[in-house]
Amino acid sequence: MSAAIIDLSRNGAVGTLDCDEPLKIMPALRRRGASFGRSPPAKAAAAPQEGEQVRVQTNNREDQTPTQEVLQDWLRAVAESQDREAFARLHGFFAPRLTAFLSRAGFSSAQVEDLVQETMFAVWRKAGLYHCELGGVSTWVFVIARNLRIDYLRRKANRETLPLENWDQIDDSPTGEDGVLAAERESKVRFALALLTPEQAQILQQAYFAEKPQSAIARELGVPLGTVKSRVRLALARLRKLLEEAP
Amino acid sequence: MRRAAGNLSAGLRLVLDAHLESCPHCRDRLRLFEAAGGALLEQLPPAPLSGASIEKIFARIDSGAVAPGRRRPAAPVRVDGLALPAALCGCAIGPWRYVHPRLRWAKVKLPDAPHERVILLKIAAGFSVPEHGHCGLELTQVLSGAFSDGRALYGPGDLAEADDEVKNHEPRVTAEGECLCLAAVEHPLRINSLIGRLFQPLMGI
Repeated sequence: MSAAIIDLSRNGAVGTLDCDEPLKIMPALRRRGASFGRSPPAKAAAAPQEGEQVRVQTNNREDQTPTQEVLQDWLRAVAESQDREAFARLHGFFAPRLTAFLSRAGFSSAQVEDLVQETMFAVWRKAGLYHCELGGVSTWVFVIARNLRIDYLRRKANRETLPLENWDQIDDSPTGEDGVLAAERESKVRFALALLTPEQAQILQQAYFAEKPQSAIARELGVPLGTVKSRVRLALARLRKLLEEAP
Repeated sequence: MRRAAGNLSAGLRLVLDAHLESCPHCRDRLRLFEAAGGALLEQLPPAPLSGASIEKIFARIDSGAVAPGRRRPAAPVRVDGLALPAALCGCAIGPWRYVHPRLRWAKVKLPDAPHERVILLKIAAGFSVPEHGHCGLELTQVLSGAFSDGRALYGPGDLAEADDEVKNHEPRVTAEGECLCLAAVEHPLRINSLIGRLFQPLMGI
């Protein structure tokens, strides 16, 4: 497969270049590894994985990212004992971020609320189907939300009023089988993202989380369309290169 | 990447999913971009929720909504005895129509998105598809046979991409045999020759 599939420059896949919003990616990455409320299981206390260069132990704060192990621990508690406290922690972490994700995708606040709720409800119901071999918890949640979003847009396009219950028809397995590579993949991706320049990281974030024609972005920024296209291309090329070279 | 982010049209997604079934390399790549999506999600600045959200979920759990059944897997669609990729399950394949004695096509109707421009193409050995350009992305998955577009040779399981940068595109099927492809386009093609343009309305792409 050549570049265009992963290249966003074709049409409409890139979001607003929202200049007045400070970039929060880098600090968030640096903070990865912060413990979140409950002590991580023994596994999490092991040596830092590749890609987690800086581990800072901080107190429980809402904007910090719990480790993969902590997230998996919470999800396991939901799956095995319908632990509502663990679910509330997952909800506390993911729901505000899903809200940010879906708001950027141009949904109304009522739709965002609906989709966040559907996604979190799916997390509750499908917790038992998650396997760490498939990838990180965040990847799993991202895929669920993405699929629900696709499904929602599809229904809207067909003016269907499919009951929301039917979300279960969507396949949420993060596409694939060779699970041993998943952990490696997750750390590789984080390592690569941390190496992007802030501008590239921002472009990439918008490429994922918003849908807006590149022509609209160009107008907003007052730069030629070609400039937007080439910026997106550069950011993606850099990410690809980093992913390929990552240890 | 657009597949990972969920930003592809249903038709293009279908062709790409058909390709992913046969290409471990691209599946790997998709997983990588999904993982990047997960990592980016973690890093999004949290946005305030409307208050009662989690209570609503608990209320729903308590109301005892039962898990709906999984969709029954549909039987694979077959064309000329060839089982098509599982991604096409549930799609309706229209009748074969001739545009040219050596070029036939059939509409692929997606159950969820009937107006997407997706077709099966059956092209005779050695035949060249009329020269054309593209608006937006075109994806073509080779199911059997092979063709060459001057840039590369595509065989069964290969995915060919073309977009607005491909100006004059004249794919030619190899002499060895007929070629069966699944193709989707975002926007109608620009066919360069007059003859081709006359045929275009017949093809729906």
